[in-house]
Amino acid sequence: MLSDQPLTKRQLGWLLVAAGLAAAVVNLAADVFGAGQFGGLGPAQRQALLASGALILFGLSLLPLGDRPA
Amino acid sequence: MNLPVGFEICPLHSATGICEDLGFSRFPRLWRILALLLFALALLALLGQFLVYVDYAVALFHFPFDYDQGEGFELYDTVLHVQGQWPYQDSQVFPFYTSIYPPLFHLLTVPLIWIFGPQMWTGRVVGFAASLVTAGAVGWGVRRASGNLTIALLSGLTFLASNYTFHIGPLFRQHMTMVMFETLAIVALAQFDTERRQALPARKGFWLGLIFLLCAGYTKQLALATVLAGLGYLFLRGPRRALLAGLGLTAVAGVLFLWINLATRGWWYTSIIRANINAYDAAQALSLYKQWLSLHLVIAALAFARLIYETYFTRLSAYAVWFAFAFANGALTGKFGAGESYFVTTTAAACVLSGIALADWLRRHRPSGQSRVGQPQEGQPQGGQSQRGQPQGLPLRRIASGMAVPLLYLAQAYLTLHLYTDGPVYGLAARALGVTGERGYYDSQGYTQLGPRPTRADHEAGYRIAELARSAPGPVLAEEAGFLFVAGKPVVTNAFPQLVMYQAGLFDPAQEIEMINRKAFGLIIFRAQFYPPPVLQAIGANYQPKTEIRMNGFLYRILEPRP
Repeated sequence: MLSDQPLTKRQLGWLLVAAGLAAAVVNLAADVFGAGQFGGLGPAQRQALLASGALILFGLSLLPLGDRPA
Repeated sequence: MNLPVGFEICPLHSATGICEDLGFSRFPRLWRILALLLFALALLALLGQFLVYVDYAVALFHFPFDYDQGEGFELYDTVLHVQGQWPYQDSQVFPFYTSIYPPLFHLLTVPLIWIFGPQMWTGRVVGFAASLVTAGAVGWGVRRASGNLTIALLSGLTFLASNYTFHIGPLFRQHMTMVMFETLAIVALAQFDTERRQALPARKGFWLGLIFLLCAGYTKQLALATVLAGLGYLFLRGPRRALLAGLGLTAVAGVLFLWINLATRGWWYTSIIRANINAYDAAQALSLYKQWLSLHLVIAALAFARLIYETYFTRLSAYAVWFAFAFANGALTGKFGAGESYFVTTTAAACVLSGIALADWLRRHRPSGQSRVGQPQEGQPQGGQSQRGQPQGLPLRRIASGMAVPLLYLAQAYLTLHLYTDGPVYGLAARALGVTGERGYYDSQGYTQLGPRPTRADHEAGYRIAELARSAPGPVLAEEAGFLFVAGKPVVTNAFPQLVMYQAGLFDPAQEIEMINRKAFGLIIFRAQFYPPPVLQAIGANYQPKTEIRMNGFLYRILEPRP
């Protein structure tokens, strides 16, 4: 049964790290499946990758905050 | 009664007073006068912008043609609803029409069409009213979170003073109604923290919030980010409840979606979802991000600061989560056909969050004993008052913080400054502010299509085009439906959806081209030539220029069949 306790800062941090990683993988996979109009990384993909990286870093920064409510 | 020096400046000194809201009530006399003057100036600037907004809105209510391209098609969507028809149709057959927006805004406008007929002002009034409700909700959110009525008022007015709100508020467009539902949803959901002790069925804010989220999504698809923000906030407070809420919301939205899709034989899905997957230009998105940040620098900086503060030092509020999602959603402005309106939600969220940040800042710098509830607040700095309740002199830091608030709102009002520059009152104001503009309008954003009031020449130009449409034999192919309503002609084609659907491989123009080749249209009215390239080629081959008429700064090209 999923908990109904408020999320902690650490849990939110891990969620954001996971979301950032997932976004980066999907973004990179776009080329594998032939989406996009550029051969390599297009400008939109580069920006999306940067955003994913920022999300991961943001998530990591929350991990030391421990069990305080998010 | 031994009042501290300067108390007569705030004769209505009370728990609801402006002086207390802004932390001025115990300032030395001179500082208090200065602070009140600054506050009055900020309020005057924002109220002045509001009056310009009302003037612009009234001018548009009197203009019966499209002011922003596509308004007439929104009117036609509403008319179709009045007639009991869905606007989601196969646009490959005559009259080559479909709508790419959900129906709620049009349904809200239906009663006005019932009473007054197909008038352009009906939807504009709904949009304008939605912007006022949104500003009220922004103010209400700030008031409830901080207890500071003055900052709440300034926050609501700041939303209305935004260039983007000004441009699109009084248009026959669904966007502002979506923002209204989004804001109402988040303000309702934010009550969740104060309703924690109640059983879920009794939590009005929770249920109202979910209903408003559903309404926002069925007004415009862009509301998805706010739906995710609302559910994200609930997730922070309790994952199980949030997932159940999300599932319930999805189920209701899904049933509605399937019902409309069945009723329209699948054209709802094609028009609403598939036609809205457009080409993406990252440079366009970056440019609009820069523009929004430069115009809303003060509230954006304060909102980001508050977001960081809540993230690392307290708990994330519904408004902080909303602001983060809304700002991220601005990336969608890179879509073909997207524009500044996509940032109006971000503006509303920034207004609430910055207002809460400033009110909290003032509360923390208010001398103890001057709390709104009459008790010192937790975390509030001590000092500034003797045991007998007399001020001992305030640290400069407190005075500076009290002065900074009206200065920040003044700075924000200056960044979004827009006003007309002609006429005795506006002319005087423009000269005093040192601004000039083309077409009698100055906008800190630079050149804008939206903002100038339609002139008498624009009205006359519109009626000339409508008269040409009225006198043409057969149907008229027009990029703006407003002329056709005035001319009493049926609405045929909706250029922009045709173009994006053609680009997505969802629109075969064969039948439309066949009619063009037969010269079945008595007249063609171009503004931006948004039709798919094969349609434009067919028109070029079969129609010739008749005349050109300028309206609202745009050149309308009127074509007639070649002999």
